[in-house]
Amino acid sequence: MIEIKNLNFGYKKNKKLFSELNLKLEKGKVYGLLGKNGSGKTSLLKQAAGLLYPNSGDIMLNDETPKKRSPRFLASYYLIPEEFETPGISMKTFIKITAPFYPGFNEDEFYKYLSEFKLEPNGKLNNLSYGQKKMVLISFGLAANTPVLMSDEPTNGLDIPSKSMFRKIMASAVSEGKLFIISTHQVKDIEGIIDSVVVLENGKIIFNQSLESVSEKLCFKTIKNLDDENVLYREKHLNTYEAVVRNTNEEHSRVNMELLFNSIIVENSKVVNEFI
Amino acid sequence: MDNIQSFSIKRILLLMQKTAYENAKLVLIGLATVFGFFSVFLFFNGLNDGDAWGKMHTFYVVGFIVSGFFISGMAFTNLRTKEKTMSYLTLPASSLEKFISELLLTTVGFAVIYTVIFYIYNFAVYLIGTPFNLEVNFIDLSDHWVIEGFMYYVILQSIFLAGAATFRKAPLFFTIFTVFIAGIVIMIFVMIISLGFKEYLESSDIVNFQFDGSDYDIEADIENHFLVRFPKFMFYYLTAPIFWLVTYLKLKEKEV
Repeated sequence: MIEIKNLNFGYKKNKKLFSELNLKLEKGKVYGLLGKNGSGKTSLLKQAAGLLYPNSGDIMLNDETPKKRSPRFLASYYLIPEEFETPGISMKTFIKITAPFYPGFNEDEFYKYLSEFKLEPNGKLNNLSYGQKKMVLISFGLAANTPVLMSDEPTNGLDIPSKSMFRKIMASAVSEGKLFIISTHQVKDIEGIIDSVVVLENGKIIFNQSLESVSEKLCFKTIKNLDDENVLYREKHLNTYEAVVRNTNEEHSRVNMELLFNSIIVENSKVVNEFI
Repeated sequence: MDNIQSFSIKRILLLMQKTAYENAKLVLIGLATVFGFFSVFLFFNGLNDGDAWGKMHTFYVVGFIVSGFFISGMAFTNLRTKEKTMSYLTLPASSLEKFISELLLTTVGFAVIYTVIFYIYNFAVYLIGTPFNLEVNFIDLSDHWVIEGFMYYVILQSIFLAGAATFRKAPLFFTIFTVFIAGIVIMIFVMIISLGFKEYLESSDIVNFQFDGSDYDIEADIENHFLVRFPKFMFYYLTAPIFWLVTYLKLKEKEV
């Protein structure tokens, strides 16, 4: 559904952000696009959305080239950006003038999501807080029913109950034909929503695995003994260690996203080798 | 998704509706400023001889061009910030549709709204002026002033539209500044060319060139001369299409 081949891109000619980047994202999955600040997550989403043009390489989203920005291409995804500005109009007017551009938009679903976020559908968009505006955009993006939904740091600005509601709503909105990409550096916020992890570091995809595969190969546990040769990465917590270890005994453990992310960044070759 | 056409009149109308809703306040403020200025001018003129009350067509054309350039300079308001640009560029409509919708709004759309408001204003001026024996005329849309005014507006407006698509910050100011600089450059260029063709020009029947400026004479058939007809043709028939093309390409190639 999204295929990137040999992507080269840089904001400056002599400084490349992406060099021969390859990535394939399939429908029916929720991808967590993780990376540190400045790793290129937003730029990658912009490339897929046709907001930035590659220096070379191919990008296809639903068999369309983003650079052409054709109406069919633009209607096939919705992007919830990290930073946004809303017009000084009411929410109802916003729906009236924006929804007709998305053939799959379902107004009932929009109001359902709004009520789940405990938001009133009345009033002007400009009178809402940043977090509330974000909830409106998330609700709109989900109700647009586009085959691809891309969100950039969607939990930024959301309070704790809203983050929890976000996870619940996203999980309920997943369906076979849809592809969700959630780009974030707050990895804990997307625990329980995603089913695949893509890690971007220095403009390269350094990890791209399903959580099923991660659970199969790795185990997340609290250990005291550091001598275990299966320990790939550890973090000290008081008298114990939170560790990522080789799953040699086919144990089942809950994937600790923060630990997984840190292990991929710090001990990249060790962790990646487990998947070869 | 498969039934989404690459070009749709309906989407252009939707884009126009969206822009109108989002910018209604700005347009009304602009028009209120222009009509407010007219009212102040008419008030003081009425205290004197009141001759301006009988020249409503002049007010119409001047107001149309001034507020029209203001509106056109404010076109593509969704390209003013990074955040708005992202939202605008990802809206499912082609660059051509987005361009056409802005062009129609700032030409035909603006002309209709301005004319309707002006007629109402004209009528109000008539009602106020009559008891004071001030002669008030009504604008006639078939008047050559109005038709030529609209023609010049469409031509020059294309430059402001291109400016609005090019400059992110203060497009109105930067467009006027760029036109001013371009004007100086063109003047210098024409002067250089004139000097280069001095002998030809002196011998031709177009202009009796005297470079001391004492005997500058334009011949009667100047209008038919190539050196006059060519720039005129360029101005009347090529300015608008060229700047429309520039606007469209700017929009199409826009990245954020």
